[in-house]
Amino acid sequence: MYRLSTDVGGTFTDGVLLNENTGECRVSKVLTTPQDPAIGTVEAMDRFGVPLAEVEFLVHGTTVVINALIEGKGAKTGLVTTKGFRDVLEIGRGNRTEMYDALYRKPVPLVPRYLRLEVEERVGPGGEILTPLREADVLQVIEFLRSQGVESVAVCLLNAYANPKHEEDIGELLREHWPEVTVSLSHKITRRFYEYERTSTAVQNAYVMPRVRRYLENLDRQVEGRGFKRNLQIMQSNGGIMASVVAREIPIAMVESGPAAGAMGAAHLARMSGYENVISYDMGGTTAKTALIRRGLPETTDQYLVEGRPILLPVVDLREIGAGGGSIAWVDEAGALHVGPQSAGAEPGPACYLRGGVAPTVTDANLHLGILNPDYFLGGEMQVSPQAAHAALRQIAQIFEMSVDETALGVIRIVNTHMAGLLQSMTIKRGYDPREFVLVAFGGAGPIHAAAIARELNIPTVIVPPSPGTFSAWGMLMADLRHDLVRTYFAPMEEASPAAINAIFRELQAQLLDLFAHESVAERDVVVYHSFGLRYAGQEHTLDVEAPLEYAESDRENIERRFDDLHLKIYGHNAPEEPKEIVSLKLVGVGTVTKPSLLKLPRGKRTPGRSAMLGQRKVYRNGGRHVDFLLYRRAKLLAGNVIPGPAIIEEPTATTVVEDDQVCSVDAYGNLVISTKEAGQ
Amino acid sequence: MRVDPITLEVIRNRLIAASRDIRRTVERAAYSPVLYEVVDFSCGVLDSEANLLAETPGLPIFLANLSDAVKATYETIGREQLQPGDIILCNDPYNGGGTHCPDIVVLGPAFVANEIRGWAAFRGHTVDMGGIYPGGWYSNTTEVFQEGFRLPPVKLVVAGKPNEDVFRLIRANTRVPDAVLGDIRAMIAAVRTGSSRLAEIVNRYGIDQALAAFHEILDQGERMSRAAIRRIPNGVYSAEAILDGDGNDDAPLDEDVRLVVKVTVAEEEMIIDFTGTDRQCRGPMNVPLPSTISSARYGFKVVTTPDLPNNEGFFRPLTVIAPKGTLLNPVFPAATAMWPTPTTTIPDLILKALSPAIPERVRAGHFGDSMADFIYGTDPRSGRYYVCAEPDGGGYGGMPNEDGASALFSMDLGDTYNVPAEVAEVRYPWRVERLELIQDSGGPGKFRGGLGVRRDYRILNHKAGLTVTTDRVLRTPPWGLFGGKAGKSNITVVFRGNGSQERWRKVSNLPLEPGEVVSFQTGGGGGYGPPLEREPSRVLQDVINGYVSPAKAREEYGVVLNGEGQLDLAATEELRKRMSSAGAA
Repeated sequence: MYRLSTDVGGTFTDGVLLNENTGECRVSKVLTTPQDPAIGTVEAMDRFGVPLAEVEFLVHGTTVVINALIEGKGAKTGLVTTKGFRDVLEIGRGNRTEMYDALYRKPVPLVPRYLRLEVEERVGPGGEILTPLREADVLQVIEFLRSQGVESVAVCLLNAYANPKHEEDIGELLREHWPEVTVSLSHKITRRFYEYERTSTAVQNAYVMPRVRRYLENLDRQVEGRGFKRNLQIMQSNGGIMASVVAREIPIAMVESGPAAGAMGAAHLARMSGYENVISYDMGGTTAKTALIRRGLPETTDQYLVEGRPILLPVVDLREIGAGGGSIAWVDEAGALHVGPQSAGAEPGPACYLRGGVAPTVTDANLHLGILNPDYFLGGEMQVSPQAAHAALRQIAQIFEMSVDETALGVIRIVNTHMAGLLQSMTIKRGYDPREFVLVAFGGAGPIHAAAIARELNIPTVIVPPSPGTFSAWGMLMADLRHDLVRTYFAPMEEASPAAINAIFRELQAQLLDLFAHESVAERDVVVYHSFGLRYAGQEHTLDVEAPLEYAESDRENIERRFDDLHLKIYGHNAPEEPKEIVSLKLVGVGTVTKPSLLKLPRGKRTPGRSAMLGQRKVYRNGGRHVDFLLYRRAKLLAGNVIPGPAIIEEPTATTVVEDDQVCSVDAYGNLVISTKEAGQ
Repeated sequence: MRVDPITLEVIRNRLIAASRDIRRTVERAAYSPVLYEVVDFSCGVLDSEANLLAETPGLPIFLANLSDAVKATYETIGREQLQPGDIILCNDPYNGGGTHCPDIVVLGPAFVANEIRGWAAFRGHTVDMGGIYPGGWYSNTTEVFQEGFRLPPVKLVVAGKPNEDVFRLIRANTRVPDAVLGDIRAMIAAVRTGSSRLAEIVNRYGIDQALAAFHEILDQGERMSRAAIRRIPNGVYSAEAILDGDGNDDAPLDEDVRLVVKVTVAEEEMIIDFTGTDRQCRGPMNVPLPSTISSARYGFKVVTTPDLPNNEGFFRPLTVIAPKGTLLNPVFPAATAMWPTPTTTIPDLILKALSPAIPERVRAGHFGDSMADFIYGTDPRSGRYYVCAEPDGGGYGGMPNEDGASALFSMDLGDTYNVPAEVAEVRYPWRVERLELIQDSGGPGKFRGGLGVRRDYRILNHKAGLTVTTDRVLRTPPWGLFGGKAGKSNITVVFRGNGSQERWRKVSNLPLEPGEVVSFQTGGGGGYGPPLEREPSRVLQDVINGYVSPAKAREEYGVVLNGEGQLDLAATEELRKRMSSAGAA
C-alpha cells in the first residue's frame, strides 16, 4: 500500500509517494496549471504510475483558496447582518497600516454595500435573546439576494458567538427557501467575539466556497475514477488535515495549506530525530518562511490577514519576509545598499539564468562565490552563466569601489541578517531562546543559508531533509487530522464554575466527534487537548494555558501559576497577585494517523565513499581569502558518514553548505545533521 | 571612521529590529485597550544625542517627542547622574512630555563602557493621570495644573531597582492605579529590551564602528529627504484653517483660533512657518512646541518620503517656525489637554497648501478630529468603576483618481484600532445599537470624499458621564479641492429619555441617564475635482449602494435617475448643462 501527497505551489506542483512496505519515498515535480490546479495535481500523481486503488492515504494542499482571495476571483456574495450593523465589514477597525501615505486605501469589502442586508434580531453579550428574529425580514433578504444573482451567502450576527440560535434559524430558512446557494454561518467557523473579524472570516469563506466545491468535487471524481476508495484529505492552515467533505464547508481553513505542511514536516522530522523544539525554515525564490514547533506541535496564531482582510482561525504562526534566491541587491538614492524585498522571481530570474534579468540577486552572489555549481544547476538540466552573475554584481561593486567578491559576500551577509532577524523576532516574541531549538531547513535555497544563520543565532543543530525542494508535500504525509474549536467564555478565575466550563467542553467535544465521524476517524484515535485563554483582569490579550480534561476547583491554583510563569517568560514580567480571568475555552482535537516507517539508508563508514566525493571548489570567504570546500554528491552518501566543514553537498534541487567550524553527519534516514565542531574534530 | 555599506545595512536592520521588539513587548503585555488596541503610542531607539535612529510605527504624531524626552532628561536629571539600569519616566507637557498629562514617556539609556551610547524610548497614553475628570482630555481647563499629575523626568528605576516612591506617587494620583501601573510595567519591560538590544549592537560592532554607522544612517536619511524635496516645485505655498473656539465647552465662536501655515520650498530645503497663527488661548487647545514640530514633520514626511522608515536625519532639511506665545508654542502654564485637535489639522493643512504644487500627490481634507470620547461610571454588573476612552474614524478626502476612504482614524492617529461592539458590550454596561456609514456625508466631487460613521451607545441601568471634544464642526468642515465640495462635519448627539435631542461639540462631564443614547457621528472627507465631472455611472453605483441619496445625486452631481432607479442620461446631460452655466454665472 502507498501514501501519496500533492502540493500545489506557485510554479510547481510537487508529489511525494511513500511505499508503506519498503518505506521508500519517490518525488515528482510538474508545472502548476493555474487555470485549473487539479490538472497538474492529477499529473503529479500519474507520474508515479501507481493505481490509486493501492493508495490508502491521499493528501492534497492547494493554493486555490489563497489565489481566489488575492486575485479577487470568488463568487458574487451576499451578507446578512443584525439591524444596524451591515457596515461592519466596510468600517473594519479604522486603522491605517501605512500612516504616512496620503493616498491610503482600505481593503475593498468583498461584499458591496447593496448586497449587505440587515434583519431585525438581537442577542445580548451573555447570549440572551433581546429581540427575536423576524422571519419576514429573512425571507425578504433571500428574495432580494436571489434576484441579484448572488451565488453564496455569509451570515454574521452580533453576539452570535455567545448564542448562535438566530444564525442557525437563518441557515434553516436559506436551506428551505434557497437550497442551491452556498451558505457560511459565522458561528460554524468560529465562536470567538470581534464582529468585524468574524464577519470578514464568514464572508471570505462564502466568497471562495462555490469555487472550492467545484474544485474538490472534480478532484474527488478524478481520484475516484483512478480507483481511490478512501477520503481525500486536505491540508489546513493549522497544520492538520481534514476530509474534503469537511473542507467544502470551511474552505477558508486551507488558505495557507502548503506552508503549514512544511512546518508539520519539520515537526515530524525533528521528532523522529529526538528533537521537540524546532524552527522550520523554508526559503525559496521569493520569500523565506519560518514557524516554531514546540513539543512537536507548531505554534499557531488566532488570526491571519490575507490582502489586509482578517481570518479568525488558528493558523500555523508563519512569519514571512521577502528574502529568497531571487531577491535583488540595489542601491537607494542616498547610497545605501539593500537586498530585497523585490525579487526577480522565476521570470526574468537572476542574471545568471540569462532569461533577461540584469539585476544582481542572492543566487548570483552564491554562484559567484562558488557555493552553487554552474554545471549542476537542477542536476545539470539548467544552464547558468557565472559571467552574467559577475557582470550584474559588478554594477554594485563599482558604486562602492569594492571588489566583486566582497560585494557578493556582502549581499549574502545582508540577506542572512534579514533572516536571522526574522528567526530571532519569532523566538523572542514568544519568550524563547533560539539556542534551545534545532533548525530544519528546506525549500530550494534554505539549505544554502541555514548553517550561517544557525551560527549567527547560536542554534546548535541544523537538519536538512532529503529532497528539500519537495519537503512540504512530504510534510503532508506526516500530518494528523486536526480541528481547533474555540468558545468565548468570560469569568474571573475565582468565580469560574467548573460545571459550566466542563459543560462547554463537553459540547465542543461532541462537535469534534461529529466532525471526526464525518471523516471516518474512530473515537479511539482522537486525542484531545483543553486550554484556557487567560489574562490578568483588565488585559486584552490572552495566553493559552493547558487545562485538564475535567476541570475542578482544585486545579485553579496550578493553572494560575502556569499562567504567571508563562507571562513572565513571554513578557519579562508578571503580577501573580493580580486576579486572572478566563476569556476563551479552546479544544484541539487531533485524529492521529498511524505514521509510516521510513526507509533507512544502508550504513556506511565514517568517511563517505569515493563515489560520493566530487573534489573541491574554491569559495570566497570573509577576510578576502578563498577557501577550499570539499564537494559531495548527496545521493551517494550513506548513514553514518561524517563530513567536516567546510563542505558543500549537492543534490539536483538543493545545495547544502557546511561552514568551516561545523560538521555534518548523515543520519539513518538520510537527513544531513549539521552541528558545531567539538574541540579536536 | 568609514563603515562599509554591508555592515551599515546590517546595523540599520538591527536598529529597526530593536525598536520593533519594544513595540512587540508592550503590545502583548499592556493592560489598557487604549494602548494595545488603539495603539496610542510610539517607540524607537535614539543615539546618545537624542537623534531618533529607528522607530516603529505607532502614532505618527509623536515624531519629535521621543527626542524631546531624552533632551529633557539630560537637562533635568543631568547626564552624569544617569547610570546603567536606570529607567526614566516623564509626562510634564512642558518638560519632556510635550503633549498632555495622560501621555507618558518611559525611556532607558543603553550603556557601553560606562557611557551612554543611546536610548530606547516608549511613549504611550495612560487611561488616567489625575486631573479634574477621568480621562485627561478636557474642554474646560485654563491652565495645566487642572489637567493632571505632572512628572518631569524622574527615575522610575534606579540601577535596576524600582524606585518605589515614584510608583507610590503615581498610584496615589490616578483613578485606575492597577491599569496605569500595569501599563507602566509593560513599558519598563519594553524599554529594557530595547536598550539591551542597542547595547548588543554597540558591543558587537565596536563603539567606533557603531557610532560611525549611526551617523551615516542619519546622513543617508538627510540625503533621501533632500532628493525628495527637489521633486516639489520651488515656491511659497500657504493655507489656513479656523478651529471652533479655544477648546472650552462651546466657547463663543468669536474666540475661535486661526491656524496659519506657510510652506517654503527652496531647492532641497523646506520651511514650515506657522507665523500668523493666533496667540495662545485661554482654553486647552494649546500645542506644546515638541508636538507642533512633530505635526509639521508629519506633513513633511507625507509629501517627501512616506514609504521610507524614519530617523532624525530625514528632518534636517526641514525648518519649523512657531513664534513663542502662540497657540503652537505656548508659554507655561497654558492648558494643553486638547493639543491633538490642532495637530490633526496641521498635516492636512500642509497638504492643502502644497496642492497647487503637487496635485497628483494630495487629497482633499479629512474629517479632521480624533473624535475622542470618554464615558465613565460604575458598572452595575460588577460594581466596578470604568472609564472608556476611544477615538472614532471618519471620512478622508477624495484623491486624484479615486474616492476618499471611509471610516479611518484621523491623521494624528495611525495604526489605531476601534473597540469592537462585541467587546464594548462585554466590557461596558452599554448596548451598541448602530455602527454604520452616514449617507451623503462624503463631500461631492469628481472623486467623492469618504463617509463618516455613526456609532450609537445606549447606557444601561446606570448613570454615566460623557466628555466629548469635537472640533472642525462649524468653522472648517472637511474641505474640498479643485472644485470638490466640503464633507459633512463631526457632531455628537444625545437622545434623551424625554424624547429630546441635544447636539454637542465640546462638553465635559455631561450626565447620561439610564436608557439614554449617545450617538457619535463623524464627518466625511472633502471632494476632489468638480462633482459635475463625476461619471454618471459612478454616481449611480453610489446611489445603489446608499452612499449618496437620489436627492443629492441630482442636487450635487446633476445626475437624474428615472422611476426604476436607472440613469436618465439625457436628463442628466441637460441638468448638468444648466447647473454649470448657473455656476459660471
